[in-house]
Amino acid sequence: MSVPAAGGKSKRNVLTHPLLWTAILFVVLPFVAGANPFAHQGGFVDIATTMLIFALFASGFNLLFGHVGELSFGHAMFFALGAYTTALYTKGFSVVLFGQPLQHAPTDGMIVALGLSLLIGLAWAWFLARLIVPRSSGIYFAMITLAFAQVIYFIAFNYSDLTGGEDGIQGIMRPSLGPLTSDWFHESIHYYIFAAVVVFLTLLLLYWIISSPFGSVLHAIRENKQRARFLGYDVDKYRVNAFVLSAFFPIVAGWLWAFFQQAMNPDAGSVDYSGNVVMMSLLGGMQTFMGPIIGAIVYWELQNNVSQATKYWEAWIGIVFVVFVLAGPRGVMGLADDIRHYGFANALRRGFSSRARYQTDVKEELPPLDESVAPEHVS
Amino acid sequence: MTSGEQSSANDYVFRTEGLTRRFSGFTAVNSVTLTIPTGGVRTIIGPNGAGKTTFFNLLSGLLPPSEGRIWFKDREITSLLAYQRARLGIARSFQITNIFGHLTVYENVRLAVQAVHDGKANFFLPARRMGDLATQTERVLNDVGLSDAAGARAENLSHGDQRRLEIGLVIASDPPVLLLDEPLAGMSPTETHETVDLIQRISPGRTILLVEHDIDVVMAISTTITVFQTGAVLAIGTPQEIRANEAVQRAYLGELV
Amino acid sequence: MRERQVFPSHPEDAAIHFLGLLSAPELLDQVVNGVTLGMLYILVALGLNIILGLMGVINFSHGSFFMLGAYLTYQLNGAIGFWPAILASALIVGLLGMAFESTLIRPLYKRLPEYTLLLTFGTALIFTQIVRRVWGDDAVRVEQPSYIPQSISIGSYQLPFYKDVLLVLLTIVILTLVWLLLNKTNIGIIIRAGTRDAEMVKIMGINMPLMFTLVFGIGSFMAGLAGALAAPIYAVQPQLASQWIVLTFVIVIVGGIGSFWGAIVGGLLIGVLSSLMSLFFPPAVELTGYVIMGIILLVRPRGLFGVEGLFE
Repeated sequence: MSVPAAGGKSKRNVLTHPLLWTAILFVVLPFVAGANPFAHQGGFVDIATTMLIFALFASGFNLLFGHVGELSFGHAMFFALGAYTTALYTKGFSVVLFGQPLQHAPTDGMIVALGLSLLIGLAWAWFLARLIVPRSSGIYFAMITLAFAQVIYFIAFNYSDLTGGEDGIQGIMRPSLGPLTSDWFHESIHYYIFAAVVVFLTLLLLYWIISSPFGSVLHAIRENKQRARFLGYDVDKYRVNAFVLSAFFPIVAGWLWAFFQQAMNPDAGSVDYSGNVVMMSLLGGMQTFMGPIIGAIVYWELQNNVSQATKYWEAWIGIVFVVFVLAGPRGVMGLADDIRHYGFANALRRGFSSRARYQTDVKEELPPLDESVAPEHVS
Repeated sequence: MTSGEQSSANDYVFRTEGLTRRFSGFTAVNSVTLTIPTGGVRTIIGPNGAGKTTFFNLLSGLLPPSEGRIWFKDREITSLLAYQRARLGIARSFQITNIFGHLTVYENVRLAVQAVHDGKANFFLPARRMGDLATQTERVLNDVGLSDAAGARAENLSHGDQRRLEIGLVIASDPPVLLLDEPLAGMSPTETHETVDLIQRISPGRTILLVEHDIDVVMAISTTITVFQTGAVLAIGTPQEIRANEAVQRAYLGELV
Repeated sequence: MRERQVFPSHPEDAAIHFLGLLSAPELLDQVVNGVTLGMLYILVALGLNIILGLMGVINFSHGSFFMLGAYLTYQLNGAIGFWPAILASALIVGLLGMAFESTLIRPLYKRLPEYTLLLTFGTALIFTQIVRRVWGDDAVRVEQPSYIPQSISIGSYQLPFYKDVLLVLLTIVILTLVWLLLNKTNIGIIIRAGTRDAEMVKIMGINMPLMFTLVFGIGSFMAGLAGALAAPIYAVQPQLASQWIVLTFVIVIVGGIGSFWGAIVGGLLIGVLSSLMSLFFPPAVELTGYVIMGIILLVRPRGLFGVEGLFE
């Protein structure tokens, strides 16, 4: 690896800006999603919407994994909390809790549903973050997050008076929003457009976070916690805040998911869902902004194609994942980066050579910290 | 670059009382009661295993003491965490290079500069004040002679440059007290020379605590020398006094000189 | 799968329930049940914990090995008899574990431990699909041989013989052997030295990669054995893997990473308490372990017997 030229990254080319590419992807996606080159099919809008929502979900997870270096194996709990809160608020419920009847009539309030989802989801995230983040890291943290996600899963599974148990909640109405009626939302492409706007705006927020000075402290913590501490950073406070922030995105994704699926079951909070976003981040490239987005698209494209061929499709997903962990831990983005730097043949050889395989280092493909602060005059 | 606190009423930076640190079955620092005056280069020497680095770790908050208390300028800091001590103005470097390897040199230093604003500045709004950060960052890079390497990833620097970057991280926040743990370790003669220059350049207005093995350098730049042996203080004095001290010669210098 | 249960509507219902049961023999029943369950938990968790503590590898496929042990017993039971089937299944799983370690895990030692979790998560997916392909989605049953008495009477009290007597005694024997292996043999001492200072052990001319493979084999063997022994008690189905692995994690967290006694205390604690929970508040049975984990985290972040700073 050669030393890059001093100040080489001071100005980011607009044409290579990740936000631009994200926007382009979102426009193209409904026309190509589900494409199967052999069957000449493609353009399944609903698959595209799924990709979008998981892109958001995985991006939130990756804020913690890729940018802080903490592997959460339970982020599906936030997705499920967002989705269930939205579903229950929209569909209504009636339970008896500790002798008190608790009722809520069906309500068409998209924004209120989002607000409630965030309130409940972030409160849980805050509680968990305070409990586990200062007390654990590394694989210990991964195991604990996985275990706490199971708590949400089992409540969704067992408290069937409220959640419908294993069958979940069906018949969630698509909402209305201002001039946009429920009927308008019912059109797949309309919901796609709505979701695309929401996801893009939310990702904008994420981009802002990781490009801010706050984001650069997160990177510092990922690189060297001890050093960050001795510079005067309250590392645990940053990790707690990052944990809560990274829960924000799955909650919003869950909100979109409930209206999109119009049905909800406990799977949304399962280990499988938590694992899936880990896969997506890794497949796409975890220390990058676009990685989880690409990963979500690749994952669902693969899923869609393989599941048509075999009911054991998860095995193939597993194989792809294992190959990436062993041979290409920097994911698609890393491979693209290598191709740009070393050419196609060399990049592949690099990815699969045993020497490169041992390297843990993942070359930065992060947005520049802040354009105004980057060194300008350096000669 | 001067530190405003230096002239405050206190005439010491650190004071320890019965400071002790035990590891399982082994006492690394044994009931050290010591006052470190403000200003100058205060060097700690001693044979390997004398407890110098452990003493540093206790002062900077890397390790909690087993017993004893620590004051920093009349304020007891025994129970403060490392980052809290760093915010009081105690900055330290490490024996083994400790930088953000995957980030650029510029980002490394800027993170150190930015740390001063932590908790005060709104981190989500990189406002006008970030301009100050840029100026300050460039000044630090210039001080440690790494301006030309600003865009390089820290892990790609030579060993000497990494050591200098480490010192850059330490001085970036303009701290009144610096703890430098063997800053010259593994350096070539030229690099050693440059780094000694750097230490002398930044020393006015600050207190520098130094752990160092290069006895010529120690004799040349120290204001006072504290000699550690088996976890306790053997002697304190000016370089001349230490050179003349028989106990020290027996215990330590004798082996080296 | 699981029975759907309903949260009680009135708190006093739970209280009445609670008081009414204290004197009942059901209580003893549940304690005995819990011990049995705890024994299986211990076997699985200890296998995971040995691998984790000695090698720093977190094996998500450990639950798959448990599942494979059960399925292999089902497969072999008819052909070679019950006890040979259990032993053979455990051995096959142990060998599989060794092959698994030397091909897939070994390239990851120089990376962060998280990568082993990612890899084994992927392989767990594959194992589950293989099992579905070979044995189908529906649960299969393993019959215990007729010469094992159904139950044994202690005074007026009837105990299921295989489940509550034989299994518990067998586990205690196995645990004793593992303890001796780890603490009284050269292998155990070398392994423990190797995890502290791999360089030193290498200099001493010991083949560390072989040692690691062996450790992984022992851990996998224990998971396979637990699965084989559990086969006559549980419905053997593809969900076993994911159901067991998470709970195993919880036990390891409660007991402490890398601790022999931690796995034992954690396994028994969670086994007994969740069995008792089925008397007092059935919907929360599955939550018991997680609540205990939450409390332990508050009080002793490293677990009951955990050591600070291991694999972070």
